[in-house]
Amino acid sequence: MNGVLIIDDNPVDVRLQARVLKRCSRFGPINSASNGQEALDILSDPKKHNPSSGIPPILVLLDVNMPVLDGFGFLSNLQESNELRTNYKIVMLTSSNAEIDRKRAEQFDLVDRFLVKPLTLEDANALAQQYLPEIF
Amino acid sequence: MNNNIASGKIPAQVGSANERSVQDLEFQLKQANEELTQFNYHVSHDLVAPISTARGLLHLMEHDLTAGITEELPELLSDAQDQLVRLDKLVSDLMLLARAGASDHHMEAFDLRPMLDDIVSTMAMHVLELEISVTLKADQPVLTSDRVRVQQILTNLISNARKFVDPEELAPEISVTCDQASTGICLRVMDNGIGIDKAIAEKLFGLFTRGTSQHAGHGLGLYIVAKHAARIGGTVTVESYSKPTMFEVLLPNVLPGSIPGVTSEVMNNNGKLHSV
Repeated sequence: MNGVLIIDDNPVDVRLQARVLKRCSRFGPINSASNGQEALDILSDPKKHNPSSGIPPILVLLDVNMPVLDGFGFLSNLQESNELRTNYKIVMLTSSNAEIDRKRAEQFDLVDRFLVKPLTLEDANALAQQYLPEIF
Repeated sequence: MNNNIASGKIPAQVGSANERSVQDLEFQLKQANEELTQFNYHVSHDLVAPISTARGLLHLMEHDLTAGITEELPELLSDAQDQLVRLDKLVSDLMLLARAGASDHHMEAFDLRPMLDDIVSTMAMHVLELEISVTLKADQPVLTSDRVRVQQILTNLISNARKFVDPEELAPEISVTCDQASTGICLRVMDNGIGIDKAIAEKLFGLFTRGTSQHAGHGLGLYIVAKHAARIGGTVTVESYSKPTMFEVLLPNVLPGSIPGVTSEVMNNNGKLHSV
């Protein structure tokens, strides 16, 4: 149970984060969604994240600025839906170090950490150590 | 957000004419400040985003080179270059936006046919293995207006139409029509692409409104179109959202003689229809 869902509208960022996570070699199946709405759809059915096992992700990397439904819209929707709130941790990962975004993220209990892009190997190892302790 | 600011409506006013004038100014100032705040937030994010992604890619390339991993280097380099192109495009759009906001305008007579040729020549009309046909229909292709602004308006509308081509459409096309009457100039840009999501209709001409993740731009194009049109006393609206998608730009008419150098002969030039 070490899958990751990357929610980001920039395909280059998605590829970059996926490559970093793979090089960390502690995370499992990596899936992505290009906006909050797609992500809610995937999380509503674990088989959409991992068709072979049907196991939901352990970690969600969430961007802020996305069309259709942005990061905060995704969190608001999630907050209202008990069915979608399983055991995954949400890390907000954004280019913006704007104080306004940090403060807004703090209003959601669902957000476990707030990181500024780019996701580095050091970040990925730290996330693995925090969220996948049984592997260490 | 204040709904009045979002909708552009001025709140109900009471009191004397002077008080109403002050209220109008206060409302406009509030609206301008709100727009500026949003602008600063989005611009700072959109400037930083490609830089941080490029940094991440370079960091990964450094790691891979150290570890002797080379298989993904070409892709990583290509992605890093894409980020710089994205950054470059944003800077260009911001400069265009600054020019759109300028209050000066220069009215002159110009022919839409070579203008459309210029615009199309700067864009690759071969998209998704399809050739997009671009046509102009105008009984009077010579207009009198602000040439630079009209060119920017048409460039952005045609660029959008090109970006949102329908991959299942066998004969993608963009058509530009121009009708002139005593009441004004009506320019229409139509396409048979994927159309516009009505869910974003209200903020379509707003700052940083993007259509979809798959066709991501910076969301400045239509805002720039609206700004240019407004600066020369015109308007731009969506007349149809899908099949065809149609934008209509209405510009005030300029009578010959009211502008130095513009004669009746130029105004009455009936050129032939032009296909690109």
